[in-house]
Amino acid sequence: MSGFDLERAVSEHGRALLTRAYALLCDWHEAEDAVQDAFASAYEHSGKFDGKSELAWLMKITENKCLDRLRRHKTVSLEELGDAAGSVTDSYDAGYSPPVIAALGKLSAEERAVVLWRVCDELDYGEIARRQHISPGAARKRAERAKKRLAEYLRDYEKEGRA
Amino acid sequence: MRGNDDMLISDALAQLYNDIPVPDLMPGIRERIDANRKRRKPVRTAIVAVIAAALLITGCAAALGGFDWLRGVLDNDGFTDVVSPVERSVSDQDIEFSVIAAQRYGDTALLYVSLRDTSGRDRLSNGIYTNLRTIDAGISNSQIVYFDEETNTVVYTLTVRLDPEKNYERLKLRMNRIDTEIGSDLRMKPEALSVSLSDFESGPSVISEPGKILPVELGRRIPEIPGAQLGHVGMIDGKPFVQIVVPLEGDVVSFNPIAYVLDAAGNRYDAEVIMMNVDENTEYTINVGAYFVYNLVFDASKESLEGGTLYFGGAYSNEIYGEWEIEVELRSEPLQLDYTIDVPVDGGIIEDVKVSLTPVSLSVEGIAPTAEAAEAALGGRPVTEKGIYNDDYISYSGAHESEGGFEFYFRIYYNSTVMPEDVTGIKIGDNIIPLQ
Repeated sequence: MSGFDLERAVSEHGRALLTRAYALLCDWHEAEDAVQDAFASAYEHSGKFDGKSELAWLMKITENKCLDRLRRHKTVSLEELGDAAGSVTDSYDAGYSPPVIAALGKLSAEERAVVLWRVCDELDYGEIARRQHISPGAARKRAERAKKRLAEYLRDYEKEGRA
Repeated sequence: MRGNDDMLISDALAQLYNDIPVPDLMPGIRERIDANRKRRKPVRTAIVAVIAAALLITGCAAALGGFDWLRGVLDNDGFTDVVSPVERSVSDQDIEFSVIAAQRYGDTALLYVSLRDTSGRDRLSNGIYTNLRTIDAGISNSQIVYFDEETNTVVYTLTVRLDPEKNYERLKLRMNRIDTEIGSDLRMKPEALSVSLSDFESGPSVISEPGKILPVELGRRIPEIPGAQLGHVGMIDGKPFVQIVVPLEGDVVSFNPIAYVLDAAGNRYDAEVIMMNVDENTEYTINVGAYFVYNLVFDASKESLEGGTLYFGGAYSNEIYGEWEIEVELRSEPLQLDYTIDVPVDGGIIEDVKVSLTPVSLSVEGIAPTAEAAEAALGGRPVTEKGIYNDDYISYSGAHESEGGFEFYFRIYYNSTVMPEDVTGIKIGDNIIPLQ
């Protein structure tokens, strides 16, 4: 193992990774599981950490764990729920569901990832395009569209909160 | 400069960061580390070694990666008792993809698949990701159940949801990407390319438009980058650009490039790199194509670049691209029991709830009079003589208003086998409803 100190890393980065996982998965329990998976994986592969940015390395692992969970649950199913999706009560209730999560939950997983990479990580469109295997033009369009929709949802929630 | 939308989103996420209650993560992390250690425990390696030795002597069917091998290494896994051997393999990029066993139970198929690196480079681990998928059906869950370091073999279980209207005698599995390492990059130091930077105006002059893709052309080889060819050298939006086209093959293809030009005076001009996938006809594709294209766009005048030297380097991500496809025969077992029960909930009874049991799953669906009753009915568990079975995960569940009330449904998949005939009741809420 390298000098990776698991407990310190959990203490320093746990909150950031949970926030990212929660924003990507929109499910508190799934997010907690994904972050625990990520730390366990990081611990086991810590010899491969290049020592540069621990948070960036852990974030990448966490995102991969989240994307894996999304892929696993993909067939859970939007087709099946169809147009009734708005009225569906998902059993994966987060228990703690702030407005930003409710708003993110209205975007697709790909859109959520794009917004987070663009707004939080300030990635350029070339990198987003590479990660999603789309063209930079498509990445830009996807990001702009997703940000606009998310902002609209957030404003709606703000209005509801004030009303 | 950030727009209002960006700021609104950024503030909301910052608030989320500040507000979330961070639980004690360590116990769960330790559990996972311990579980992974057990999964890789030396005794299993020893079992593999013993089986391999037996194979040399007897030539028996316990071949590495075969069904008997699987039963040997997954000694506590009940699923191996309810699947049939398949043992079909394909190989590409020195990765052998096998379907070891499969079985269909009604609208669910359970499969064991494995990946093995036969190159000796140990590229696989229990942290890999793949884009393994089925054609015409959906994978509800896939999880790594075994990893053997010695033979660099990963075994997955796949739970596949089948369209009940279709008769799946065969199932096709396809994969073309394996992400082998997380967070590890190989670096390629930028090196000078033998590309002449003197004639930007003779190439295409392109005005970029949103969503429009640059033209791609295959030209002469660039000897400094294995397999690479020079595409266009031209102008885009008045800026000089150089196009490098690299075939997608082998296991190191995802690349985060750095490109710049050094002029005679040592001034450096960095490129913005626009990347895209194209197919064998150099047409843009959203999927994994035949080539990866790097368009190096310089925010500099062509005069300042002319006569300069182009440098190209960067960091590789470890991904293996290939074509793995297997069609397997799905044997069907009539091990499904169906019941109709009445479920008591607060404030009444939900009548005619349909329950289906297979060795790998429990499905419940019905129509409740109220949303609260539907909510209360979600999340049942099978009950056997041994007690309430809780070692499972919910694949999907939900409730929505319909004509007759509130339709609800859920399905759970077990983490080990529960034979339908052993299930004596269903626990829903605080009640155990007997099955007769």
